[in-house]
Amino acid sequence: MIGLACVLPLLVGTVLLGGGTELSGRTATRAGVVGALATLVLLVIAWSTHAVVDVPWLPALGLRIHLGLDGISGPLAVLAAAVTAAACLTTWGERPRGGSRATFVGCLLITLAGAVATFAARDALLFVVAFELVLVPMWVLITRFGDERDPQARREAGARFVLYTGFGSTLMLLGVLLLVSSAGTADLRALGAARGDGLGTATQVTIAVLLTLGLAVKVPVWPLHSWLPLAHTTAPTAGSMLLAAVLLKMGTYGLVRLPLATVPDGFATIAPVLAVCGTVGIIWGGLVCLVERDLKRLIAWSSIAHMGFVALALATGSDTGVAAALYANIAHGVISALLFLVVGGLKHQWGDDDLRTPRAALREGAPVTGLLLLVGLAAGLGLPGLAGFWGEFAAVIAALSPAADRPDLLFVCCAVVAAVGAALAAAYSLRVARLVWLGEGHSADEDAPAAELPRTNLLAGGLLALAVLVLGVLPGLLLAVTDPALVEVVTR
Amino acid sequence: MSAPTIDVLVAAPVLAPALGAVAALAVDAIAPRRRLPAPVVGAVALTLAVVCAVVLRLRAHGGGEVSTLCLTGDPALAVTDAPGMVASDCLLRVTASGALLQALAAAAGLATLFLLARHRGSPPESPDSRAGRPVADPGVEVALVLATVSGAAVVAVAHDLGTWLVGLELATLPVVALAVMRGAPRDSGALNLITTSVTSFAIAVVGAGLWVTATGSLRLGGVASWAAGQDASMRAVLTLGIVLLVASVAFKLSLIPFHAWAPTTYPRAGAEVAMLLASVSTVAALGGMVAVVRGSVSVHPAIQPALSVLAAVSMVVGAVLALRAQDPLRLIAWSGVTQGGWVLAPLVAGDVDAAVGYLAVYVVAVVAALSVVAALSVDGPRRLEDDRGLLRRRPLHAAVLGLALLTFAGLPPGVAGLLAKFVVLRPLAAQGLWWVALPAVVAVVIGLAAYLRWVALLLLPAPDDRTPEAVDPTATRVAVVVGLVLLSVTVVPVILLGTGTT
Repeated sequence: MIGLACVLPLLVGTVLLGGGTELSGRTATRAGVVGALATLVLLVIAWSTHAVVDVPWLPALGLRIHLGLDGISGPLAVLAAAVTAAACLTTWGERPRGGSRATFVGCLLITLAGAVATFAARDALLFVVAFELVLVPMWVLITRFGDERDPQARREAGARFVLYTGFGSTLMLLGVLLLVSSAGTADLRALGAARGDGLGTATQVTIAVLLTLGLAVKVPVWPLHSWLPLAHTTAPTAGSMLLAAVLLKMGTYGLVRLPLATVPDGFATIAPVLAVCGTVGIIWGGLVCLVERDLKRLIAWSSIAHMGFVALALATGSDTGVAAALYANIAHGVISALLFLVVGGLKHQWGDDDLRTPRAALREGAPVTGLLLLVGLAAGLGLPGLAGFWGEFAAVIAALSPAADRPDLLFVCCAVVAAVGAALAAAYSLRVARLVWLGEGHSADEDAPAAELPRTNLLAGGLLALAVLVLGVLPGLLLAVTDPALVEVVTR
Repeated sequence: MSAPTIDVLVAAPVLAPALGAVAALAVDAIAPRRRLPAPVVGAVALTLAVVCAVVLRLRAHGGGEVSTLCLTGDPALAVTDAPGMVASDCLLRVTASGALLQALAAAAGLATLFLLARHRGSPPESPDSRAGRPVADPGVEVALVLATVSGAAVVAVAHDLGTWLVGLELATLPVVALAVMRGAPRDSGALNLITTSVTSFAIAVVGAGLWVTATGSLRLGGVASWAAGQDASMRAVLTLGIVLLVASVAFKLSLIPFHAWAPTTYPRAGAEVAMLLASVSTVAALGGMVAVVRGSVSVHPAIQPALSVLAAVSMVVGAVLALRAQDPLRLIAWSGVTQGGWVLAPLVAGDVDAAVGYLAVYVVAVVAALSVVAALSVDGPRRLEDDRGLLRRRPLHAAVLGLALLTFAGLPPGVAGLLAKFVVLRPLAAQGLWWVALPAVVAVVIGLAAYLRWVALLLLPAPDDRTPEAVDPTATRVAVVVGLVLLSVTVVPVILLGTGTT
């Protein structure tokens, strides 16, 4: 069942790519949505029945196709499938420019296949293969379907995305190979259970540095983030949604599964550096957001700030910290997918997304779009009752009392700075709300009032907004699922 | 000393192409300048060689050896007894990885043969190139290809200096003749090739001399060099000899700084000759390198830095220069330089199976890429820019080419290339050889940029609505078959990356 969940989107995606211009756009969108939803159903079934696939693939390396979901990977895989379905839905009203819609949707589904395989992989080497599978389709989405105003910038953004993440995953590959050859197994659960036993301190630290550095590019953690704003600015709406809600999650998931679980001592050694980088990212992202003129890039920068919270929470190494990181991870996935859906749609409608141009107020012309934007922004600034609150709140709490082997004082400082960063989030969210929702600086009689996004986008956005609310009101739902699985990765 | 016996099956991957070459010439003498008979003879011989090599690979599976042509008690092969090592007196000893090299050489030769047997070859790059020159002489061409394959098959299993040297030269010299027949009339690149070959042969001969001085044996292997490695004065002579042997093979593997011939020869000699150089000659070069590295066990610490520098510099610089290439053949030549570095990298850690596995994937991919280039170059040599929007005009060709390029880059869907990189990097990471592993990371990133530049051209729509270019049907069929092989390696990587230590 879990194997089918990986193969189905791959298959549908390949058929769509093969069909190319022969297939009508509508058929492609339908096939994409149905494919992603079917994957979602398969994932839920596989997860609830604990389905496992385990077949040898390349005996020379000890590489196996070993797939299975648990409490940590399950929610992420489901999130990926749901967001992909929403992303496919947006292609109904918002025709991709630069190529056929079938190719576009095909790339979305192959990205989904790679993401599901990454989350489900129980073999460290298979994890790397799946991790790299998403690179080419996402590169195609950026390079071919990106912002059509500037082909040069498009190519540059695509190239930077591939080169940064390719660099990261090769470093990670070295770390995984060292880990696998010194521990003698590639089974992630066996590696997690061993907790780095039998590996010398130097080896543990080397492995942890390689893995963390490689994965930090994908997360992205400051100062390895510079590919993200460029990629988001250029990528089409659906591409941005996947990038934020699926690809970034693969990085944090990898951090939990690989360095944190398999070489805890090595990770503890470098955790302070990760914590500081995460905190700098929070402040850095927040400050840039205060002055950024490009709406989509602003949301991308805010992603960097949010991922800073996740990195900080992971670095604490405590129960609360890792639970907070996983929670914030999922929450950010839903919120950023929602925000990119709205903002990308607006950019498509406006033709550009310069915040200096006064825009007609969404509040008056397009109340539903406006409401979705507000929900996203409010959740992003960490308003209690919405998804963003619990993860970031708990991250700060966790940083105040990190695991026993971490330097207390440093983490407390980080917690304080992170709290300031959360205040920055309030400032820039209100700035966006003022400019876009209230339409500040725009005189009402100038031109036509703001228009709603296409209905399909509103439907997808509404579902995501609902998820934001549910996660915010009932955080226990998700925590109940992840907590039992945490035993495997956190040293108690 | 009794006359050596020969097991025909074991020698078949070497004998079949050699006999096939003679037969092709004979057929050509009987029915001169007929287009069909000689290639058919050649194809049969090569198919036989592939089949026998695969059978041998299965027989040698699990670390065993299949050997023949044994000269028991021959004084030229005498060695001092080395502890823990058993001296075999056989001239041809086929291991699983050796058999894989033989199969690769024969299969790549087969692909080249199909391309050469077409009505018109792909025209080389030159100011006065006559598009579609008629094939000069089918019998001779077939014989030359078969001789190359035979040479590569010998080197892959040779364990003495004589056979090794003959095989290595046999795998290169016929290509010079082919370059003259196929290449651009004024400058076919053959001059470059022959200069390189002669230089590398001279270096190899001096190296071989030093080897014999140090070990007192013609045998090429760890057993022979063990005694010399124990004695300080002999060790210096042995090390120098090995360094020279490595240098001579580095020419054939086009490793930096011995690479200069590749980027000039590939475009001038045309796609078919480039394919022969990139596949069969490279297989021979790796076979030669493996034999030398196996023989250097006793002085490994002294050789390791030299190998590391060669590997690391080739990987990085080759990729950087591939970034600037403007036409397909030059790009593939530079990519050959960087891939040569990748092939050498696991040998620094002494992992032969990894090197052979990586090469296997590279050879399949390069044959696929070059047959697409040959299929498209009907109207003259192409530039990279001509491929803009190829996916829309010629989806099949673009798909095969894209898959091959992504395999070079090691990005899924080119999963075979990615797994090959796993195989190469594993011994480096496990043994802590970071001064090779970290340049490899840099090379991966630069390589991504170089190959994706071409892939991007395939994907992006052309500004003008060009009519689809004419394609050559034979080359297209070869490309599709090789592309399917590449796909099946993705699903069942054991085919090429099977021999492992664990």
